Amino acid sequence: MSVPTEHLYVLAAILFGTGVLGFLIRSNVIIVLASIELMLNAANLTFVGASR
Amino acid sequence: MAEILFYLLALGAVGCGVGVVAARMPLFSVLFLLGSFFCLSGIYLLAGFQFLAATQLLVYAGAIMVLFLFVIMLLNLGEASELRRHAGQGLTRGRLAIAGVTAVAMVLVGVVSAGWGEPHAAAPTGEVATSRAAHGIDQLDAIADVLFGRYMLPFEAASILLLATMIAVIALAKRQRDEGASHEPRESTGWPWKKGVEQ
Repeated sequence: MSVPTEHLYVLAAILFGTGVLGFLIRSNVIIVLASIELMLNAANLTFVGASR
Repeated sequence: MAEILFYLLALGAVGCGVGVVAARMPLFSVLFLLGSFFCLSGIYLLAGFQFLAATQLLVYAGAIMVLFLFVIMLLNLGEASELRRHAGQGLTRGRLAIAGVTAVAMVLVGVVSAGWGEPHAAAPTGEVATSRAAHGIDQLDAIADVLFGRYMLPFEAASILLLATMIAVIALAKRQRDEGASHEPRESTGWPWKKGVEQ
């Protein structure tokens, strides 16, 4: 796969931003936890991009 | 071909991420999260991390999602799952700005730190490339060597930490239940924790 690493970072950042937004605007505990999981996955994607 | 697949999967991951935040019911939010995990797993596979992709599916889609769905479908939380916040709920401009600034800052940090290293020095050369091919699934025995060799102690410490957390959660939940049972008379069914559930 010859996708530039920056695109992986951009994808991770968009996912992380979505997670932050969900953490801030939703009041349901389960959705807040799901948003945190989304942020953790964005962090994992950043690690993948950095080690590629 | 792989590039098109990557962008499709990225689009799916972002769409499912937006669905997680925008879904009205927690159940749909969790199902969107599941879709996002599958898309990310496909991206890991495309990037050449087979072990990570399999772990993502096993741990996230297999374990954490089942936990979420169990909590939603069995516990029937209802009002109890709503957080009380000081400020009003909803999409305000300030919150949108915080999320946007976080995302942009993350891109900047990532791109700048990637640019700081020697440009294109990370391309696999000779030994690394052949060892990767020889080891098959993204150097699984290298991971095992590091995990059970150099980082043995932190690994075991993490497992003890998880065990301690589990015991603490059981103790806390048990104390809460005992307090609840002492304040109110026991139901005739003999299941004090099923009080709120309709028959």
